[in-house]
Amino acid sequence: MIKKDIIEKIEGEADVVFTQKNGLIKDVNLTFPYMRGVESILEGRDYRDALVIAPRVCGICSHSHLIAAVHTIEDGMRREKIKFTLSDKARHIRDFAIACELIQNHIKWFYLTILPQIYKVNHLEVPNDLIKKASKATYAITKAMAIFTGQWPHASYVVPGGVSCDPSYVEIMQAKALVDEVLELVRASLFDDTKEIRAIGDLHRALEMLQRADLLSTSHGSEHFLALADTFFSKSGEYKGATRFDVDIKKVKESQREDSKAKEALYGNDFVEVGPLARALINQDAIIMRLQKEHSGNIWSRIFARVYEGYVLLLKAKEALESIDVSEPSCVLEHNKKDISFAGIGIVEAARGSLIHEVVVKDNHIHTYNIITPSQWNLSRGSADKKGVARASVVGARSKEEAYLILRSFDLCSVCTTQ
Amino acid sequence: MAEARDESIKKLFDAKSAKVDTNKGEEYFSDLYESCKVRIGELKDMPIAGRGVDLRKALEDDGFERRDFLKWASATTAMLMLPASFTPLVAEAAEVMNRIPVVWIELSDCAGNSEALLRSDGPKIDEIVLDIISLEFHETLQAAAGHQAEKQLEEALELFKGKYILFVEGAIPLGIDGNFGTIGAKAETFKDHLLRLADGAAAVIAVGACATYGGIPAAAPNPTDAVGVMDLVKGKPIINIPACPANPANMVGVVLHYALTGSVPELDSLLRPKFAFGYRIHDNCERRAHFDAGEYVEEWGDEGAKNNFCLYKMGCKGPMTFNNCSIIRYNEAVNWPIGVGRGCIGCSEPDFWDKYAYERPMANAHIKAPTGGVEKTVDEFGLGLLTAAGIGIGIHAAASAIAGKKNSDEKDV
Ligand code: SF4
Ligand code: SF4
Repeated sequence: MIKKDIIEKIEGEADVVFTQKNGLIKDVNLTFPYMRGVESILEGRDYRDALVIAPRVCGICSHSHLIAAVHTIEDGMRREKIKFTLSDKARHIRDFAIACELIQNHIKWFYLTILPQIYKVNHLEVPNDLIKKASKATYAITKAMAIFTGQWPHASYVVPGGVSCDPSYVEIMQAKALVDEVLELVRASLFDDTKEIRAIGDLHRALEMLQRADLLSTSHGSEHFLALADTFFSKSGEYKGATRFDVDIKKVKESQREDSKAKEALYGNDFVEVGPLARALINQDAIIMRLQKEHSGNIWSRIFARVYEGYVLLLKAKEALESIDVSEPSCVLEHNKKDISFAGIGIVEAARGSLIHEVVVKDNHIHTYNIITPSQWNLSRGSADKKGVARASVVGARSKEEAYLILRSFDLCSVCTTQ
Repeated sequence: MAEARDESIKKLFDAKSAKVDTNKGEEYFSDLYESCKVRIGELKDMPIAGRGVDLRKALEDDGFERRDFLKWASATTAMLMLPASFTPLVAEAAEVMNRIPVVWIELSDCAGNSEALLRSDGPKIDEIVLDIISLEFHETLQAAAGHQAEKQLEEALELFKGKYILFVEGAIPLGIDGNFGTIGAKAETFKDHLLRLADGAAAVIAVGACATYGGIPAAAPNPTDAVGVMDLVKGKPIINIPACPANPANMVGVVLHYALTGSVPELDSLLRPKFAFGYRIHDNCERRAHFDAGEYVEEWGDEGAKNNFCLYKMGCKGPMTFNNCSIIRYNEAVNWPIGVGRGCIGCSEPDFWDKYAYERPMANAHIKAPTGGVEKTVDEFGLGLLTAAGIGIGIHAAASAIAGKKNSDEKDV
């Protein structure tokens, strides 16, 4: 029996068609009935306009798109030998903001996407204070970010060669106090880090409920992971059969699907999983490696890895703040009044995984602009015998709610999948 | 801190610089006061819609005191351009706002307005007030999924027919027969979806640049042939709350105004509420003194940037942009784009993506003053300003270029 269903509109909308057999999910087809065409809107414009347009690709990961856009320009400038030096101060400020956006995404995803679905799989009523729990932390962290970025979403404080803001020491302290506030919330309801990192409170409750729903005995994972960017918190790499390899950007391929507005992304000829779990494994994070082994790649390690990355990033965010030397310059760019032409690529690790922007600029104008988003990796469809990552992982699910939970563990985001 | 902020917001809205004519005479306001009182009384007798969260309790739970709330009410009264004597009524209106059913839909968007509204932005009490609005339907927020969600929406539409306020986020793509965007199991196009929902609404509120003027999707070459709500919906009161993202405080303002008076707030010719869009960024900008003194940032990271000079030459569109974000700011009022040294991009103005490209200084931006608009006050003010003052500003900046040059020469020595 084939049954069509619509997935709840969490981040944009996707149509979901499940194929069921003997009560088990046999296959799923996700299509995205929606697009805006941001890439073609960028073409023909001054390359610097990408810095304000790119964030609007996605209101959820707007800052990651901003950083990817500035990286494409800086990469192009580097190749054209246009001089700029990114000061440590500018780098720390960018890193701080990157951390903040990821933290807020991870917390929001846990409380508003995953936890409610875990309740549902257990046929329990979803408590109505989850939004409030999430917002306490997300308000504080986006506020800390806006001290440097001006606003969130859709900040535009980044310029080639640095940042436009020039924070005072007092502002840095203000941001630090806000990060501490969030750390306190996380320590009260997600992790105990006094000795060894341990899930407590809501996170522990999630684990218990997964156990009760018998979701820990089967694997819903992939074996092939990828992180393309080297960042202040993670390294790039490919992880396959428990071994790490260096990445080769040339292996990234994109193809258009016929039945959907989304494009698929492949690495070599393979569908790969990107995101916090991939990053943690590639970084050989001891805690996640152990979990992955214990639970052989089931949904819990993916959930834990994401929330845990939020915690790690809080510590990194504090470090970044402490490293800012206010006396350094915010932006150093040898101003180039001439029209310039370049090709550049910008890669970042966004909340849901690797994000790529690629640009070709001719005489200051964007000739082509290409964006590959995290969800394109995880949500690629593939074929019947070579299924995409999320698609493959729902096979065998015992109910639709269970399949939704697995799909959501990848965090569907159709906004950026279709742009 | 919050208190100090509310106070300063109130002051700013009351300040002469706002230049919006708020003095409609005593008789007008005393009539309005009476009708608002009646209106609130009526709302009080109405059943609480939706989740029925109680504002008083919600505030208490979050550790706000009555005093904080009244401070907020007084700042909001000023924001809505009402005399201070309306403060108690505004407070009461906030408390009965949960009688007004709200349906929120997302079309061709980036979800940024929802993000701004629901999770990360705006002064605290505004958040809570928004929380208690009886959101009958919001695809992103509600717990129900798929068919169940569709059913919930249909029920709300039926139950609150003619009464609900429809919030729309995102543009409407008309290309390939609307098939760039469809919704639900029946694949209803965004256009049909919007028209059907608007039909039963008391008023339609377009939030964000995309819903008002088409925004990003409609930027050249407009690949999906996207338009804004007002291009499609006819015969209904429409209120535009542009900007990218729209400021939550202004969304609250509109609903509050509706609760208070039962009518839409006074609008300009672009259907924007004057209380929010009657202000020019440039007039309330903290860098304005530098503009007047001819002190500009000339390059990212230069001495001017370090000294928070005016960003006009770096492409700031504050002089032609009407919005109150220089006053209410973003993310719990912690900052705004100009505060971090990036110019305003003019995101509350029509077609700004095409006309106001960021890096181009205004003088080269080929900006035409908007035509039409027979209204007085804001429009007239805006028009005069965009033409005459626009030219004046160009000259002013050019003159300062020489002065600026001299300064930097001096520094070189
Ligand atoms: S107006 Fe801006 S924030 Fe709102 S949907 Fe459009 S791009 Fe996103
Ligand atoms: S031009 Fe921009 S930065 Fe300068 S005073 Fe006006 S609004 Fe402020």
